[in-house]
Amino acid sequence: MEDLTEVVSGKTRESTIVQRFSDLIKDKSEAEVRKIEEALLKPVPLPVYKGSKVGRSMFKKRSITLTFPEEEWIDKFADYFKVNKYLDNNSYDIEFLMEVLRLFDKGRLIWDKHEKRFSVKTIRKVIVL
Amino acid sequence: MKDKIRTEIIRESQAFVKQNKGLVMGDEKAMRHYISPRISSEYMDCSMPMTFDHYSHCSLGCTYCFAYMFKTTNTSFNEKLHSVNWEKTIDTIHGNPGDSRQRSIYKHFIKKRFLFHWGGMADPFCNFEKANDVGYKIIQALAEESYPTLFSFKGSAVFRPKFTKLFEKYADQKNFAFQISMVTGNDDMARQVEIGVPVPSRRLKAMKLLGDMGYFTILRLRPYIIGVTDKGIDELLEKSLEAGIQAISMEFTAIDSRSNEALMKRYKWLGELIGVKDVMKYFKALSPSERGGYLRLNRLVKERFVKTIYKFCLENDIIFACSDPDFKELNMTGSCCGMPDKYPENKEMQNWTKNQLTYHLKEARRVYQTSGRIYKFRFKHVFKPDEDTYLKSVILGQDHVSVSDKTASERYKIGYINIARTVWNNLRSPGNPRNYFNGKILPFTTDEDENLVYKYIPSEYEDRWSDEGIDLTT
Repeated sequence: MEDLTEVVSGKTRESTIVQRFSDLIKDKSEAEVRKIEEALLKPVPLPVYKGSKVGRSMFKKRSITLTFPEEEWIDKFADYFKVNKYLDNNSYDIEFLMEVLRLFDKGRLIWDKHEKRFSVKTIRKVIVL
Repeated sequence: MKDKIRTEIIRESQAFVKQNKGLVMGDEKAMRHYISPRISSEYMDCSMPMTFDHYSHCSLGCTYCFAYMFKTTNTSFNEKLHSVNWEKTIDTIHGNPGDSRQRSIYKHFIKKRFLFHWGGMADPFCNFEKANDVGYKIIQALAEESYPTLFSFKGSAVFRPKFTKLFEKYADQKNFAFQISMVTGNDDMARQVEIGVPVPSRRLKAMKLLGDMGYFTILRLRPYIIGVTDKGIDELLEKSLEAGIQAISMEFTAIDSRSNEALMKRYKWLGELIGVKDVMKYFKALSPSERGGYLRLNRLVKERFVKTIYKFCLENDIIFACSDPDFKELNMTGSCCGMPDKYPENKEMQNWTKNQLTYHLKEARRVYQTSGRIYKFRFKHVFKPDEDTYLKSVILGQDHVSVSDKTASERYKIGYINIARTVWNNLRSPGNPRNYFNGKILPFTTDEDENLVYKYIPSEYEDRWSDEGIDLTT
């Protein structure tokens, strides 16, 4: 919850200012009214938001960081998986990567970590790539 | 000094008007076409996100023009006059969209007979029309289809016999509404700020002409220039009422701190007219910094002017509309252009969207004033992509030509709903509801979709005005 006392105190200030302003501008020229506005009607600062935040902290729960042995792998990765670089609560173009993960999950795509090769499991046989 | 600035500004605007008077477009087959309709950059609080202009710029020389600012600072803007491809536009209106862009506009708006808002960055009835006649052909198609349309204008082509005959012929359909823009009711003052524009007394005649035909007419006090518009405002309101207006829409002048040389001259002139020596200093001192570089004065400065207009609307039973971010909650309908919630004469004129912040702010004020309940703003309740399908299906790459802070690849990925969500959740963005409405709604928690939830903050003026007997429950 934001601090409502700040809002309430802003209200009190607003009421006094409006009254004082309307008294001061009586019979004043246009230029004088502008000067009074400039001196008296400054914007009220907004209360600081103290609630839970959306953004980096929330985004972190749904994101990972990838580290490659050499920089050139980043370009190779980006040729196939276009992942958005901004932490703006939106993600783009990760469908391909997600589909690969789904195939692994269903056991249709198999990674042999000893032989370092993929196999695709079809209905009748396993095709080694 | 004052005379020097005045002479320079008026000379520049006169030259602009003179150069553009009767300007004819080049060979239509060879030229590039202007891209419109487009989706408004203000779609987060706009009831008519589809906006249309038939020419790339306007022949009128209004010194306060915000489109002048956008166009003179846009490096890709071409000074040559272009029009939309009127044949394709007409085909789309008749239900035969040609290219992918037209198909997209047709699918998300025209097919649904969504209200067509004509006059966003230029004038539908400006002097270009005399020599080029593009607008007339499109209006004729809209009339034949009885397509719901709102015109926003101050140009004089509306008085041309072919236009008056057309509007008279189709008056029974009631499918057209008109916003007539004014910044002053005084002809002499208008000559100093609106070069080459029909004087207010002539615009009042246009208002009367269209009102007498039975069309819905709106006085558009935009921009409301403090120090100019307020002089003689009572007389302007009375005359507009006599001319038959059914709504008033207002928005205060804003100036851009990122100005070029030509624009600074105009701002200086504006400063002279309103009675300040350094207009930039004045606006900077009085504008909330959370709104960024586009300087809009705070609500304390605006209150007394809004009160006059609001009271006039209440007393005369006409719609009060406010497209300014301050006092937006006072709108009497969900459309800050002043279109009515109910228009039994032609229900299609009600076909604008309520899924935007103006409608929800108005509801929040009404709920608080009638029941004392505090209204909550949830992202998924405000923006509904299943109803406003453009939100999820139209990407910036298809539409928004002026977005410069996004890469090409981003423009081909980002849709309007993505931008709305980003702005909604980014408390540092000038467009964020907390900042843009300057604390009128404030975030207090997040929801299950990880979006901020805002709530309505009743203002002190609401109690004070109510105590004075001003009805805030409408």
